[in-house]
Amino acid sequence: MSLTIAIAVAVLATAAWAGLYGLILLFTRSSLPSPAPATMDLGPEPPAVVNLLANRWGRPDEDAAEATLLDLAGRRYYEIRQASDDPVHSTIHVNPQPPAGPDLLPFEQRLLSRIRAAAVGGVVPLTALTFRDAGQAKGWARRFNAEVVAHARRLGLSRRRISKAQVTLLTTASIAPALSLAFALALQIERSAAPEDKGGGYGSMFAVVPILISVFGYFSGRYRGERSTPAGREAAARWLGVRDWLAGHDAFADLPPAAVMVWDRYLGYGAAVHVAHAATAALDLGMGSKYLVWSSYGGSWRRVKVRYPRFFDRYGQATGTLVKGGVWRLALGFGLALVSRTLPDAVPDKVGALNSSWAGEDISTFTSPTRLGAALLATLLIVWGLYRIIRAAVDHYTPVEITGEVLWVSVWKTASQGEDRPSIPWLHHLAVDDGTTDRTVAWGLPSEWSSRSSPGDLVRISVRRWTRRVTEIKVLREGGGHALHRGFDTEDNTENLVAEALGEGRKAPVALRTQVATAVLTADEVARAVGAPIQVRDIGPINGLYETLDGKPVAMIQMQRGPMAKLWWAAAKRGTPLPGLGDEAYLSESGAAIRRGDAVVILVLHRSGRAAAPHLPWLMGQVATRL
Amino acid sequence: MNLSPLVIAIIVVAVIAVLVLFWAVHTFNVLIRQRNQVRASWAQIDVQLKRRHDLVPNLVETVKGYAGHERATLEAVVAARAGAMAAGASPSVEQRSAAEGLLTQSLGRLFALVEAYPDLKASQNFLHLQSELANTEDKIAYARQFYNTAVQTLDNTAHSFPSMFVAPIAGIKPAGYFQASGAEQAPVQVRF
Repeated sequence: MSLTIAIAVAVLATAAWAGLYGLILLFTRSSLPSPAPATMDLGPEPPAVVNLLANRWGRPDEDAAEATLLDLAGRRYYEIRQASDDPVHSTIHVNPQPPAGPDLLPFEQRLLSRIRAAAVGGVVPLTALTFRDAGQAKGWARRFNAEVVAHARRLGLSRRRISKAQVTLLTTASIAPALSLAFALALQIERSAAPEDKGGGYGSMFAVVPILISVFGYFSGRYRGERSTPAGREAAARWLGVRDWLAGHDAFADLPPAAVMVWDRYLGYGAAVHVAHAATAALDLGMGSKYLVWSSYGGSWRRVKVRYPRFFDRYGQATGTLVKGGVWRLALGFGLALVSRTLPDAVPDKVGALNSSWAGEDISTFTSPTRLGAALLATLLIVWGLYRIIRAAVDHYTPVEITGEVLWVSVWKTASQGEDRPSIPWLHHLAVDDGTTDRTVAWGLPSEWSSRSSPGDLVRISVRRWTRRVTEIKVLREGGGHALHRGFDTEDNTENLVAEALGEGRKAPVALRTQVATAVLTADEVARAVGAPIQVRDIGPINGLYETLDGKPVAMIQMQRGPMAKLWWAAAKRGTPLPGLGDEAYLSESGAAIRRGDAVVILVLHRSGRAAAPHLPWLMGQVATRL
Repeated sequence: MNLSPLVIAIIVVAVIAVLVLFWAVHTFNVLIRQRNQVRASWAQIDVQLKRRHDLVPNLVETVKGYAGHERATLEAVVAARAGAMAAGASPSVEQRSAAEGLLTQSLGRLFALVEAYPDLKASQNFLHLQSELANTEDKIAYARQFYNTAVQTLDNTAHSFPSMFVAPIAGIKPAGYFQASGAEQAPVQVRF
């Protein structure tokens, strides 16, 4: 068969599969039913589920969490009080005695826990509920939405958009394009192969076909939102009637969040169906600004303006590096001073030109612009080098201790690894509020310590003022959100999270107990450390392999929990201790091990992966955040 | 093309007139929509009030079975209900609100009286009626809130400048607020 025909068949088969996939998507689209007559009667569904229905079963949007926040206030789990004319200036006052009533749903409990964790003395400003880490914000929203979808499915109001039968159909149908694509590839390999290698191309089909089927299967199984059910359409029609009723009251759109104390649950439902515009505009449960951060240090809430220094290269540098730089400048300055005497005159000394001697002394250095320039530059370098060395020494021997609340931690400086290689962070910004003013300037935290503290923690840091380098960090008290935020930075897809929330397979909070080893360290992080693109391969739930794109292993990760982990730890507990990471961590020549609670993770570097050895503390720091 | 000042003036006036007409039509429609919202909100109150009226006879009968000799209180409830139903035919919101307030107060006295009859308090039928009545009272409270908000919105539009000139054309008349009864305005007391 000619290669052209083989390619044409492959393209047609792939197009046919894509057409089938498109048809399934088309027929599983959900439209909104006709609204029931406008009514003020609320149904039994929680606002977040109503939001899913109002969004045509796509997925809950950010209003789902905000509606739940208002609904819990309407149910008196806390009060919302407005301090000024601006609704943004509102505070949440947590009710120490939760009201009697049915148990909270998982997503309601998740939100209430977040509010309680953030509250200081039972009070938290409405705008202080934002996250300070993009990954956590995204992960929290993913889990919240998955729990909402799971509840909607439990109520029979929603179902998977692409059913398991349809996924099976698509996967089965993908055999044709997979075979034809693999065959076209095999033909091409055969054509270009040397005579002694003939036949190998067809053999490769055995490897390529399963890979292609997995790729098609991945696309088939991807979460594409929800699909309506008859019960769901009935409920949606009813809720659209409520939406019309609420939308008919012009004043409702202008109600602030604090109005929930008068309107009870109506405001939450108004937010869910997108008619309580002013209330939702004043709420934000996503990512906060790193320039204006809420701090509760000292027992009262206030907003702290944070400046992140960037300009001078000395920031974050170790004393040794600074002294080395100073010595280089000195050497360069002295070298230039010596050379400057031998430089030719820029202007030849002709009749009437500048004299190069005075009272018998050679003053050509001062009369020649070239020599004068070189001498000035040399002086500048010498002074600069001396200044740098002296300041570095003074900075080194006069550290300052600061105690305060961590406001923000983010990457500041990265080290380039060359072209096509991801850069590695070596310095983080650490913003700490010491309670003295409402402004602060971030410090430079070595990246390997970045996982030691989280926003909200009370820390004592030792810093050098001139270089703004943190030389020691000690967490005195973990912030309320610390434990709460663990495990939020999930990249897991929605369908798995929904299954967890439904109690099918992996379960929600227990997910960490069954997480696979590679979930605690991403391929991107290993790539940064190694300085080359990396792919990851699970070998069962306990082991994972990080490989270069050409399949060479660079690192292996192993994770164990429970009694077996104790045996592992006894064997792995050797090398240099890494204080501050997990409960215990050790660094060896070509690997590291960490323990937190009953979980043990061992990372071993192989061959070219050993180049990442200096970054092992940073890698283990990333692991520690996910245990 | 040279236009005479007169033609220019006519065009300007025509443009202004068209703009005013568009504004007037828009304001007229807004007022009508708000008036309809007031009527719809009132209908919601009406539904809940009628439901309350329907519950009262059963409640009186149940109480009579245990405390028949408390004739005066029972008769006051029956009379207040009759008054409220009669006021239902009246277009005056104030009159109706006053009559419903009387019924609320008499029901309050009835529930206070029940405290002295433990058997009645334990009666399943009574508990069910009490719960239904409490649920209806809640709905009346919310419906009143929606109604009063709708009335306020309409009043604001109808009395604001310049929409106040369109309000008479749309036939907008001031709608009364549905007041909470005296008992509901008093500090909340919880009795179990």
